[in-house]
Amino acid sequence: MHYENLISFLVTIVTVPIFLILIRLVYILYGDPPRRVENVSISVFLGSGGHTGEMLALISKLDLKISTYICSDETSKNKVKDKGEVIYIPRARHVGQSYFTSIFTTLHSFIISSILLLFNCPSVLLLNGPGTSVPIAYIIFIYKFLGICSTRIIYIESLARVEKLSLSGWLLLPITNRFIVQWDKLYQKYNKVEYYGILL
Amino acid sequence: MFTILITTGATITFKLLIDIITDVDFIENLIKLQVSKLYIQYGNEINNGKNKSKQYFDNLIESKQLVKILQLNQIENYHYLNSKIEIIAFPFSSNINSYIKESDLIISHGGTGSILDCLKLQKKLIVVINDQLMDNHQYEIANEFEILQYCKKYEIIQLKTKEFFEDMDKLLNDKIKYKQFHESDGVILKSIILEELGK
Repeated sequence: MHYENLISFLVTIVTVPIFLILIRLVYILYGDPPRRVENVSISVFLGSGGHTGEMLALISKLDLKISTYICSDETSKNKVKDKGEVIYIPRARHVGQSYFTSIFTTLHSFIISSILLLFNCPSVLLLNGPGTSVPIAYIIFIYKFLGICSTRIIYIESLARVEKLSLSGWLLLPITNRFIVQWDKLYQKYNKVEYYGILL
Repeated sequence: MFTILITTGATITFKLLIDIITDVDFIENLIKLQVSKLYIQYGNEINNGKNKSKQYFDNLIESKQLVKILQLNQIENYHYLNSKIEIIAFPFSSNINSYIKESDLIISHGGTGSILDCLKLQKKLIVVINDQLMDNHQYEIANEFEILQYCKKYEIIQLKTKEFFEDMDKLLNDKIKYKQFHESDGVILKSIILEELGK
């Protein structure tokens, strides 16, 4: 093959996939409209302590059936075990665990989460933090990108956030379909967020 | 005659607040305000199988000689009584709402959950900020709620001042009134979910 042809060939096989991936990404991020869903399943993520409390308060007023609760701690699990199906995700890192071993536990948690979510892709996923909600949402996002599911991700920022978004919120802002804050100050600060007053 | 609940947060021991409310002076000031029943939720911080909050509370009651100085009779564990005041303490109650309902005023830590529990039940609320916590969201949220006139916030050092008890007196006797908090009915979140489901 002529030298110049080889270059163009290589450029093509590299740029075309990248271009397609980008188009797909842009579509999933900005284009993907809500579609009418027949078999509706709503999943709720319950992370820990205050976040769990706030989420339970939010959904207690919702007269919609929650199909699955994704829990990452025992206390949350115990609170909802009688209410519906529970998916238990092992913790990435325990308090006081060394950083070296936490690499493996994080990986373990990520793999288990990926497998469990693959078989339990909901139509809607509700999240409100904490940090453990970030990998869950990104796994779902990757599945959406791959066309495995079309989950709508809704994030509700904690009422405790008045001045700026939480780190989890900030990381999830680009990949959520809806992002709701509960204080006007946050609404003024970020473009994508929605504000309807206190939801609790 | 008034009933007061002091809740210091379940997961982390709010030591500074527990320090102050177990002072003989503090209890005597409450008695002066005609508080006849005091509930204290002192926390449930478990570490190595031991309840740290309980240990901390126990040590303070012991070292401050509260029972002796106030001539309290111990009816049962964590239940004290003298002619003027009844004190009932517990680490954590899963049924805290029933205590809130029974109380005329709640002195609470700045946790969102506790604040909302009190406001939803339309109770008089004083929020005490724990400035030892890492990020001070508690301050931010209490501040916003104070601006909206749902409650009054104090920093821990203010709890020893005359003004604190004067404010509490006014609150208990309806000389200061706060706005009513209107709980969300869940319609907004429901409609957001339905929109996402294409309905």
